[in-house]
Amino acid sequence: MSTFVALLASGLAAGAIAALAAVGFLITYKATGVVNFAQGDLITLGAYIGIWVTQKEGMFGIGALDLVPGYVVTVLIMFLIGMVLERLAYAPLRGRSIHVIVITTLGAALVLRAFIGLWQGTTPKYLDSPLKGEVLTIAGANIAYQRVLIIVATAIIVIATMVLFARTQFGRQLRATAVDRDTAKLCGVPVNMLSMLAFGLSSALAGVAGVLLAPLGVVDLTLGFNFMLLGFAAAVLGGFGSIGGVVVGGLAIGLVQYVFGGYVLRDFNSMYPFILMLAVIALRPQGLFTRGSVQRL
Amino acid sequence: MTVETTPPTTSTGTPVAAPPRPSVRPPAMRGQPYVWLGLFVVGVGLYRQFGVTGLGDQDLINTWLYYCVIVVGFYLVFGVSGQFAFSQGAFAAVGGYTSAWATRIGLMGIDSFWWGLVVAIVITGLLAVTFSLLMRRASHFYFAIATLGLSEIILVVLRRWTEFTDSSGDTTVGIRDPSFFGFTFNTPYREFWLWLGALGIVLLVTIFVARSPLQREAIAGRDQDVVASTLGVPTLRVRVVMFVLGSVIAGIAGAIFVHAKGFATPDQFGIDLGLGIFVMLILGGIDSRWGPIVGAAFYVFVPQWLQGGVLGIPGIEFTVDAFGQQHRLGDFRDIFFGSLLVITMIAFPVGLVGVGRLLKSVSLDRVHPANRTWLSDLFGITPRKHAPEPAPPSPSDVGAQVGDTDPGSAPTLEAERPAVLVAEGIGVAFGGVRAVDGVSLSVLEHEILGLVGPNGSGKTTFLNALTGVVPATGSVQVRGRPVGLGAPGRVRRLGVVRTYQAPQTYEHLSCLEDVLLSTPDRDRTGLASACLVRPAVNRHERARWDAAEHALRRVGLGDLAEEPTSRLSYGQRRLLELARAIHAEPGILLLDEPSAGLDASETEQLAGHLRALQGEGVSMLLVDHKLDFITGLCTRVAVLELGQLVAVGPAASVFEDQRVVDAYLGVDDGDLD
Repeated sequence: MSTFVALLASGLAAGAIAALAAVGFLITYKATGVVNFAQGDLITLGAYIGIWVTQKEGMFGIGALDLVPGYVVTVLIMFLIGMVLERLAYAPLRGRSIHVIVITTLGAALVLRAFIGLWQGTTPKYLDSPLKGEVLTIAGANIAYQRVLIIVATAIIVIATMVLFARTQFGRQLRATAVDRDTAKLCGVPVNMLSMLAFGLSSALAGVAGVLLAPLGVVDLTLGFNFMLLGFAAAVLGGFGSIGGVVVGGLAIGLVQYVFGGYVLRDFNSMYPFILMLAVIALRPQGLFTRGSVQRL
Repeated sequence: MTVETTPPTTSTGTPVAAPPRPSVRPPAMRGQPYVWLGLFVVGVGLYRQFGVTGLGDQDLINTWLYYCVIVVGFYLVFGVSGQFAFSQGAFAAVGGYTSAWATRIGLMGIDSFWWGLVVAIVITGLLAVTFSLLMRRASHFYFAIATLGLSEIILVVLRRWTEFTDSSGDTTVGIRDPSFFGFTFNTPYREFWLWLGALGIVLLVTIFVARSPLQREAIAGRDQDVVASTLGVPTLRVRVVMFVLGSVIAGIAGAIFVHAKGFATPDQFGIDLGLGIFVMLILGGIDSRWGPIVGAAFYVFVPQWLQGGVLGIPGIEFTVDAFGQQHRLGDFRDIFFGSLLVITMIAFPVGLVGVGRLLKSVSLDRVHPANRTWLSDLFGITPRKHAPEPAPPSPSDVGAQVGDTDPGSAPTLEAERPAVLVAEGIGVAFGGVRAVDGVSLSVLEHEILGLVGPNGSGKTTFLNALTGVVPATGSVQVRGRPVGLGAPGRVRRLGVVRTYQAPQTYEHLSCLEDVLLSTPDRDRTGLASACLVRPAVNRHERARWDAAEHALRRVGLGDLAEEPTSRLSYGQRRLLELARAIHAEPGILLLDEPSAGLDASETEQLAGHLRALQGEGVSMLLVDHKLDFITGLCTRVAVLELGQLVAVGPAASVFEDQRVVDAYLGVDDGDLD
């Protein structure tokens, strides 16, 4: 029983992590129609910035911040980086083919990763958690509070993002821009500002993901990439583009990886999310939990 | 001066008695790619023999050749066929580990490297076919994400399945050296020859592909797959073939790589290789088989040069202080490449090869015709001759030749004519809107049936339903044979061809190639033919070029056959679509507003072409807004309104029908929008 509870908890947490990674790139996808393949490296960058502002002499020698203020500063810095990224790598290519834009995001990913490598070196680092590695014991299973924190944070972020898109003027303008940029502009929507904000927001969420995920293990250059892949799987299962669907997709891959994978061919459990994803793309390209026609991506 | 992208005409001037060859041909058939390939292979071989001194340089050159092979495969998958695949590195891993496994256990009693290579080709091929077919509905991002997922699965399996990989601590060691009739490739100096041979063969395959229908059909499927399907291109098959070809090439590269190194780890094939492959292809040039070669050279040699010299060229001794450490310039390699990727996409998406081509045409394109030599022909820098083309027959002549069918004289026969296309109860719904609502319509033998109706009445949607471009209900029969709806390309096989309201031509193809897409002769169009039976492919191709050139001349575009379609005007693109339809040798032609955007004289020309086609026995369904154009051509006219057929019959009586007048002019009570 305790094994099952532990696996279930791991699955839920992994699902929340995937969902958290997915929400980040879905914001830019929904606002601009572009899948940002640099999102994973933004998550890595978030983790390293978290380390930078909270350890040793802190940023620019002002001294190490406490963890929670450090998180806030990290997210703010990431927001700015996202806006800069939009100006440098996306804005000059607006209106070009999807292929061109995706390749540019790959270039951005390469630059980010190489920059982190130069800046922080390639030896793995660690970021502390404000919860100090404490664990919650349920039915004999130990569950790190950090995982509970991730689940709660993901829930809050998903709900906030859904409200943002569905209920606010900002969200309506973003959706309008995604559907038809020119028409939105003619209607007085500040499209340039919106796309910068969308990239900024997306990058800020990558920062949140980075600092929350880092304490679960070591921080190295591939941290974010792996989480981004899981985020892709979650997004595909939820019907690419649906913020709410991401939660269900995340849960599905978390459970298949840890609960199913806890009993069947355990060594290979990290491939189950992707097998599930490929099955969904092959059989129901519109996603498991959406109705309606096939979405032409 | 516009950039000359097509090498000039070379096949003139020598009066040979042999069978006459068509004077126009696709640009890929110009130039001397086989000669260039030979020169390249010999040149690199000579350099290895006389120029390379150190082991370090030899290793770098081998790495360069390895990347060349793998990126040439990616060029076929992504550059030609437009499939966003991150799986190239993973397929190399599959090829490498499979070959290592087969030679280790001595599969079927054979433990030679070459047998391992064959097994690797079979396994990567099967995996690629399965994956490509399963993912056939995934497009763009979905496909990219699916290939990322596949790569991740493959890497997990290779890390964990130690019975297969025989690895300890992630590394497999003791992989057999390749040998060839007693010559063992056991040092980098010797492995070089293996790599060079592999690259030569792979480049040869790209030439075969470029000089067969496969390349233009892959490009058509990449740029507009639905249109290509309705022209008769088997888009799914072409896509799968190109994906499998590129992936198998990656598998071959992987197999040679692990056998040459003697060891393997999954990380050699991880995401860094995947990103590097993108960088090399994009930097080098995505639309040339030389792009991968140049890109890989750039990727391998430039950082090494910045790091202190390569191939005897002294590097830059220069260090930079960053983040409290001394860095040599080579440490900035990935920042440099990532930025270059972005800059390339923004500033010169054609890559280094494209820039080179531009420089060449700017600096060398002015060879005077008198100075034309075999060398200038070889280099592709002889200017185009401007021989006057024979004037295309004027449309009125064409009409007269085939007997100008007077619209007034035909109707007497109407009742006796059999119906060639019968559509019954066609319905198309977009959400709650019934765009086409139970339309039944027949096109009779040799007739031009007009289909008119106000904007939004469902005319184009009706054509889309017939050609399988949108999902529809109802039934269609072509000459008595039922056709399934909902998938483009089905009616094409029964001789039904269509044109589009906005002309759908391919900007990355020449006019001739665009026309060739609709060829009715689909013999010898596959990959196996392209590689194995060149003479038969060439024979069929020449016949197709002839036919396509004839179609182009007929609409008056003969002079522009080898020009890219992007240079055509709007009206010319309409004519090109018509030439494409003519080349298809259709039994039934569906025309969607062919006169839109044409002026009066162009419309008159168009009418002449259509009458000529009618005289040749083509039946047509003509959607248009110009009523005089319709009445001049059609004996019968059908009228659609709000998705329903309101009238069908002889032109004169239909246009007096009150419902038709209401539909066009609106009725007083204003229930029409």
